[in-house]
Amino acid sequence: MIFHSLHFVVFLIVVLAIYWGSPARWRNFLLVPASIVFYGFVHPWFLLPFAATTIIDYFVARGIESHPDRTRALVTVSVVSNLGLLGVFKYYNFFVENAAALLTSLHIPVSLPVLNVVLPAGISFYTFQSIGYVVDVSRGHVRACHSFRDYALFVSFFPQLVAGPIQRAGHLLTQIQSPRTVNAGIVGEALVLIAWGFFKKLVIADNVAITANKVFAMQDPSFAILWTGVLAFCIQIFADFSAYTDIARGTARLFGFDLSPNFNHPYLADSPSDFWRRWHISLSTWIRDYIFIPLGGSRQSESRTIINLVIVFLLTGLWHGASWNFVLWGLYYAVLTIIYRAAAAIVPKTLQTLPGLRLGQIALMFLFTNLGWFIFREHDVHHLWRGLTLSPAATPAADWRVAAYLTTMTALFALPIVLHMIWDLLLRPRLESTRAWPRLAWPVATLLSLVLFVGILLLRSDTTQDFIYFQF
Amino acid sequence: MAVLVLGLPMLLKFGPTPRRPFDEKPLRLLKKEQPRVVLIGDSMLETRIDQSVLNRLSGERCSVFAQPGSSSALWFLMLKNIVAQQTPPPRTVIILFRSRQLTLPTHRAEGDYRKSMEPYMRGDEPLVEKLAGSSGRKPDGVLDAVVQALYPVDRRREQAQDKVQAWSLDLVASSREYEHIHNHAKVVFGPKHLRVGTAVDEQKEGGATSLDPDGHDFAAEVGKSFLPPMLEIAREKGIQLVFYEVKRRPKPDGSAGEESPTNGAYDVALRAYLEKAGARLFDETREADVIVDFYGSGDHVAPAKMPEYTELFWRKVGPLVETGGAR
Repeated sequence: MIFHSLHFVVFLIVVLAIYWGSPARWRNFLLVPASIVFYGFVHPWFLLPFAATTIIDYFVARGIESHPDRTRALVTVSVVSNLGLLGVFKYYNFFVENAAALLTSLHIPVSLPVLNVVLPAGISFYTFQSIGYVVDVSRGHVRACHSFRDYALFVSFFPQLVAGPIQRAGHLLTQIQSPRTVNAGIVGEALVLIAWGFFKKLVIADNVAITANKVFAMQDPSFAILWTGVLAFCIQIFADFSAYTDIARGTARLFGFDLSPNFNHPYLADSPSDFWRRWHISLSTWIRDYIFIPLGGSRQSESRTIINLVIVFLLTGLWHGASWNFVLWGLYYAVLTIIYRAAAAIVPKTLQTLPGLRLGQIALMFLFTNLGWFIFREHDVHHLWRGLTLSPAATPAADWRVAAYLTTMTALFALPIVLHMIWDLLLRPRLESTRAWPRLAWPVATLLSLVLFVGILLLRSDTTQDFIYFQF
Repeated sequence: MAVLVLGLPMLLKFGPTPRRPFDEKPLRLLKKEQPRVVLIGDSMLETRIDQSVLNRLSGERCSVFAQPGSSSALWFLMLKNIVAQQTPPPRTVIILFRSRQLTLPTHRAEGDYRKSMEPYMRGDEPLVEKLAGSSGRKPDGVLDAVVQALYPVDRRREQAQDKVQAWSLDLVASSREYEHIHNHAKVVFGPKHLRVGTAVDEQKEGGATSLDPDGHDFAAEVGKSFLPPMLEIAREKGIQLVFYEVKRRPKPDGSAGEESPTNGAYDVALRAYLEKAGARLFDETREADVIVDFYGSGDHVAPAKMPEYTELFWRKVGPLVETGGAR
């Protein structure tokens, strides 16, 4: 089931009504079948790999608790089974096709069978969430969940099941095991979050997607047109993915849950590491805590740190999809991070504190981020190479005018994101610190929701597309 | 809160409904060119016919009126409000089409397609409203249909979208340059520049009227299509109408690609109908010399092949135009 469908609207209203109308002890029990209906609505077979992950990790965690001496073996069982599922559904065809191509190039023609199945939605999200839980139990950070119902809800909680944010057991499972309440303030906040999410998806992402899709469908765009398309995609992917997160967080709040945030104004990042602290936070912190730090992080020798960075960024790239451009994208961020680390060590501290420098750093990082999005979006290696080697001097003058027009249109659609930054970073903290805020919160929430809803009605794109991160 | 947020926007439906004005430029262009042969069609025409090659081959003044993403409703408007308004009218009008387009009046007649039809509409165009259906956008799913029903503000939405485009243009160009930028954007993103295997045209049509509907019965549909009024206009103005069915992208072995298996029966009925009304049909779909090498993206012909295709086209259609005989 997708958020922007009538099915979901009806589903949400019905589930909310039954949920809050039921005694507190039944609520978790109700949310599990609701999540199953949500997830299996279009493809019921998606529930099979999902059930396998849930059942295996529930018993693995219980096993770790009752047999601490077998922790290593049990964690291995969880990791192998989850990555096995991911491997089969997400990476099998990629490896088979590349193996066949390699063997053919060595004059060993082979015909390897490929898997013709749809990638189960959200498999990369829930497998990582479940592995995180098992590792947390093995480290003693959380206790194994004894209620299968509660654990099943932790993995399946429908608002975040398909595209995150990836939750930690210490955050979500604890809430599942505690009583929950909502009040008018929480509902107001939740509705604004949901309205803002839908606005970002239907108005910003879907409108700028028109430019991005047109440019990436072109055979030979000029420099100016190509990078206009990349900028449009840069806005699209942020608006699209953060929209899903906001709708998920807003929906969860209506049920009394607080999901961890996934974004913190990523295009204000001043370095690649800062970008990953702001972009898809739940994935980057997952990779930091469960891969980077166990590998030794950045506390070992410089060469070991570099190797660790390359490993984690390659894995981050591969997490997004089985395609060479994602591998390149990961490698790109590894190289960029390494260069920034080296630069930080060379540039004198006095220079690093120059006034206005941060603005320049943000602008530079924004350019690097766009370059990264080009690698991310362009699946065809030939087009990728062509795009990276295009000269701005070869752009016809008329193309610059079209590019300026489309860039301005993209910027106009992106304007609400800038306004949101100003609201979030400057206005809201000031307002919330005033004594009048408790009285103002409700009218402000109503006004914002009204403005966003009217904006959706008057500015939404003709056609809407699936959320980009559904494919991962 | 919910009542205010969901209720107040319902007021947006009140007030006049905006519409794009009639565009005089095509009229002026035809008056200047005074063509003897006019070609009308969608991107199939735009990517197939090289006007300069056609002028040379035919030895006549030819005008190509290609509007990517158009279909029979817009072709009817072009014929009625632009071509037939010329004095003297052109001798021949050739309409390039695919599959069932001629008897699918609702094909590409809603949403953005509808917007692109408005500059060809003089006033209310009741026949277009009657045959092409609702002037509104076809809903993108059930939720969209419910929203459209509760908040019938699609025209205001289109107007707001147009304003965003207009502001973008205002910020980067003077009003004299608008047309140039628009026209260049159409060329840059036109079908000639699409990647091989990409068919943006078709993707846009998801959920809209299909080109090959199951059980499409010519005899039952033709009366509800734009064909009879188009033939009537041609008869009144003494214009020879030629319909040219282009071959859709064949499979690499040369066999029919997207063509529906029932196309043969449809063409027989269409030919009989047109000939009875004094018009002509040229069916390219079974022509063996239109091979897959001609094609670029989807059913479009590759830009480099346009001159060659134009020659092929004129060899087939030229005698028909000159002699007025049927093939």
